[in-house]
Amino acid sequence: MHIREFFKSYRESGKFIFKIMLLVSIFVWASGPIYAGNYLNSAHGNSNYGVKRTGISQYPRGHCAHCHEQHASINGAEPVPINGAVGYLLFSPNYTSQTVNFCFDCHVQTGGYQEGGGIINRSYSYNFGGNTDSYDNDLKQAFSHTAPGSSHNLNDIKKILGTTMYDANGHEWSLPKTLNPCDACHNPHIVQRNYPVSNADGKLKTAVTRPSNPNQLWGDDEGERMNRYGDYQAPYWYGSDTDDPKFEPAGDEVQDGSNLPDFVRLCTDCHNGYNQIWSSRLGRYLLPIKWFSNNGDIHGVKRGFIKRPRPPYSYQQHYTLSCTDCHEPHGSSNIFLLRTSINGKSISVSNTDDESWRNFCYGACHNYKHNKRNCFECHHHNKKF
Amino acid sequence: MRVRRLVFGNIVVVCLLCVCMPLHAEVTGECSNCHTMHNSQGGQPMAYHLVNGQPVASSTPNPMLLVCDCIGCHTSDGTNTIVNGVPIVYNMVSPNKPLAGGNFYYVINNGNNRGHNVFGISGPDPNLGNTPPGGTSMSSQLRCAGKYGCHGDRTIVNQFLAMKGAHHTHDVVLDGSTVGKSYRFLKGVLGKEEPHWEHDATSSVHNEYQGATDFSTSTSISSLCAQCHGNFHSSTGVGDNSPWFRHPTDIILPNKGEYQHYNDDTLDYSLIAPVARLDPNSVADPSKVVPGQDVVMCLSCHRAHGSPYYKMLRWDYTNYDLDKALSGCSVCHTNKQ
Repeated sequence: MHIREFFKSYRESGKFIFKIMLLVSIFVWASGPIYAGNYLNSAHGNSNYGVKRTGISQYPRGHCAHCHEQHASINGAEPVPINGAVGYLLFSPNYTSQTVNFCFDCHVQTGGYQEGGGIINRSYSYNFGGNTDSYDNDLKQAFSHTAPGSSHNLNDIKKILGTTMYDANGHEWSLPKTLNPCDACHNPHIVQRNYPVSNADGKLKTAVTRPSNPNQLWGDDEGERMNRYGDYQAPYWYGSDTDDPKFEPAGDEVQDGSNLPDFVRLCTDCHNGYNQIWSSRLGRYLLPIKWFSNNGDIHGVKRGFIKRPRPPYSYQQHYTLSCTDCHEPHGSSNIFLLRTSINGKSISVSNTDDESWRNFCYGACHNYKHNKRNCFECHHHNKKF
Repeated sequence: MRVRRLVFGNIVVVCLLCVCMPLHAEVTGECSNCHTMHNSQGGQPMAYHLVNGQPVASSTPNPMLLVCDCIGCHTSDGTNTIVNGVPIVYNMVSPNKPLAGGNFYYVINNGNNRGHNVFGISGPDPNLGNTPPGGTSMSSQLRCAGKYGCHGDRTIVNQFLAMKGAHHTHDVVLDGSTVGKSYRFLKGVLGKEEPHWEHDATSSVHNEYQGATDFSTSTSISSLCAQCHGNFHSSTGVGDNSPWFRHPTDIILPNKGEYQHYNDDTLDYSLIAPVARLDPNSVADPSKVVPGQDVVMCLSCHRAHGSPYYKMLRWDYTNYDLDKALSGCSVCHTNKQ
């Protein structure tokens, strides 16, 4: 064989081998265990900081048995806490009230069953806003706020479980009636530790699942974060300003929402124009939130320019806000779950008086307040100005 | 001529297969393998019992002229688990291929919580005494058979009498009517016995266990366990539907959610977390599991005799590599991997 023919043959065989390898790779990738779950990547299943119940030494950290008792018996006796056999094989009842909840048996600063002491889950304003002045330390504390504070009402969430709900696009969904209300947003078998913010290899660690799609993490993939809207501007980190700009949620330079789950889609699975949600606290149905409507919320996707903005927001711009830019998801010392810090500034909203609203609207994001009447009379959810 | 030769040849092959394959558990062989006429040979007693795993000669004859009790025959000092056609449930050294029920070796060598604490092999479990978890105290230590055991007629205290005649029963059809006609001599329980006790089990060669869809059906393998571990198989102890209070058994593996993707969505019968069938004798494809039809049972997780693992589980549930610890759970709970 001529040397040139040899190399030609060699190159062609190389292409052939490459094609074969490519096909094999695709086949191997495609034939993998499609239904592999994500528990071992979850916060609860983590071998370093996952679940580990006090007094249960035989099972490794992250093991099912720390939360679930297969027979409510080990060596002939029920391990502590002794609650008998209860639903979902849990070691204590799944949900009792706003402050008595299986999740709070561990997600509490002191007195929980997680080995090594309590679990600290500070407020959104602290973890993702940088506010070290006013915050809750654990979830039980966050859900314990009463007037003038507020907390996401678990009993109201419980009431919508088992009913037909609609997401912001009008698509039906429903969750089992027997679920713990916390599970509506946090599938405990897949949600991840999201603090500090970790966005590596294209995957954002996220602690949430959508009520309409509880078996998939939300926010981990690109396309599930606030930057998808193209006009999201992250608020300032607490104490930050134009001289030294740092942004939520990580306290760094990222400000396009690429490191923030799309909380709009998450929250509007419930809070939209299709669902009527009763608020026990307010004694009325919640105002509908129309974030995606042309005639909907001014802070939503389709409305006009921002009025008299404070930095980092700019004139002649439209912004789609994340719900968490203003609201705590679990509880707050402010009314309406409003955060204790917004856009880098401390915010106190203890009632619906005009002065409180000024503190909120004018103090955080807008640099002008007309004196016609109380802000809240004209500006609230489902208002287009 | 060719046709006659072919037919004759086929008949010979079928006959040979019938002779070679033990299709049922009816004992064959020399009587003296199991019985002694006078409990005396050269002036020495032939009968013996195992005490804590060791043979002790007895001048008191055993009932039915038996040489020894259950454990005496089903024990080996070697590693093989089928010896002269006898299934070995207790090897004094580490068994090479534990049978479907597991092996009592692990109770002695790995710890009391590795298996059932059967009289003659080990003492009572120091934590449990004679009280089975989920049940009420028994007035005697666990036996192989009889009132305090699993095999034989559980209305009869003496385990020899409880097993009387079972090994000689022509048991091609298991209908649960007698001990001999019950699955593995577990009186009343149905199922389909793998002829070699799963010595060389594969996803297509294995026992078929009887399942049920309620707690009152007495022919299921789990209902037998429940005769001692009642709280683990009852409406009050487990509940009647999700959310369950304890891990349910004798329920259909759901054909939805994570369960429909059994065994990494292959639906291959798993020897780590097997299922029972509602009709073990008419399984279309033994190598496959059918969610929505097949049944979760006690033996989906546990070995009846003993296993190397904590709580006689089929996999290493306490392994500090979490992936291994949950490897059995995730066969059914496919979203929890």
